[in-house]
Amino acid sequence: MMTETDLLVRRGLVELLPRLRRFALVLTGNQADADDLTQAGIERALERTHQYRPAYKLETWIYKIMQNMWIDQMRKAVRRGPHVELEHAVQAVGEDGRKTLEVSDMLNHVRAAIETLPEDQRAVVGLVLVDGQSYKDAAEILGAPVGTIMSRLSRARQKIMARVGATSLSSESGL
Amino acid sequence: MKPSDEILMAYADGELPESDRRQVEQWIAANPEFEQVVADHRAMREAAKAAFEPGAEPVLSAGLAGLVGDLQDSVAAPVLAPPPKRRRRRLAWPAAVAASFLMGAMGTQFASVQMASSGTYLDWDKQGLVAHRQLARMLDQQPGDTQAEAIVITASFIADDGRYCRQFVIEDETRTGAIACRGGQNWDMITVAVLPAGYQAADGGNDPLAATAVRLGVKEKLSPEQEAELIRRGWEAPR
Repeated sequence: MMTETDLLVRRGLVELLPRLRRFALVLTGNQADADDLTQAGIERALERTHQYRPAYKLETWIYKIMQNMWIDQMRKAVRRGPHVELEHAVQAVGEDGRKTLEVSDMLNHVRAAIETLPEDQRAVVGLVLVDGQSYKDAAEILGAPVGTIMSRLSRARQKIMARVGATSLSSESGL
Repeated sequence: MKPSDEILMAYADGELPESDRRQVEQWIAANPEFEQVVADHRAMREAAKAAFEPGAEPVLSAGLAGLVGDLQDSVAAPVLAPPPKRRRRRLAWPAAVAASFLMGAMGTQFASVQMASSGTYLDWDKQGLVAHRQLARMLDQQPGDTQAEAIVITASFIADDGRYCRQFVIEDETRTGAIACRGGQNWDMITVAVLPAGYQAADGGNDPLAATAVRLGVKEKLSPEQEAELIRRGWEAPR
């Protein structure tokens, strides 16, 4: 028998789907992996609906689930390949991916730059810049203090600017 | 005093409380170079958002489409309030999505193999695969959740384009699932899929037909009463 919370969570997940996929895309760097992560996240949320408290924002809860699953996957990937620190592994994956990426315009450069960020910075960029979450909500999702979120975000932005160039960012994009 | 990059960033992101915001504005007024830093942060935010903004929403992976189709179904059902005697879907969410072979993707070679086992039921016309006379009669007349010969109708719905569609399973050796939609006087076969081992007609998470249902769009799931009325009217399209 479906409870009100079940229904609330299910409806919420359907509505959030485009945002969940976009967040997963920032984390994983390609749509196929992003959809796998989104699917796994939704499945886990459905298994744990009884743990969800409606006072809590649904998006915060599901983002947290997906972020944790992604971190677990990355850790497993690192364990399979010895002598590689997590951050370096992620950067290495990003570098390889970047080489194969057709960077034909500024937005592709920005996306490629985001994909080469270390895991913790990429998650903050995904939440705050791409999805528009507040620093406070990002801190809640990632389980870190707001100060840490700010320093990660600032470092991430500096790296992206260094790759893309602040001038091209504001002039070529017309933004 | 020089503001840190983090403070200027938080200002650009609209994250500073009022008092801090006024302080930053004073700094900017005194030193226009800070204004450029703030503008760069704002441009970066817009660019990052735009970089992941899909031109069109990318097609869902088969696994995700099945899951979402089932989710949509499960939240739509209570609103439509089907009578309790109707079987509810068992809400299992297997991680691995069983391989399904959609005829549309496999082309005519696969279709002819399929026809060998389900030949009694399916036929080609100029427009494509349609329900053969016997199947067509069953789709016309058989209420949902009942079995007649090898055909079990598992769901009926109105697609987003207004067509009436019925999902059913042919319980023969290969076990074939299909969705047919009413087009003119025919039932057009939208999808025919060999069902994975262990598939249950009412099993949500493993449902290879759900992707097609998502693609068609389920505007409304039909109640037994609505089905009965349509059977009486001969599935005539709504005026």
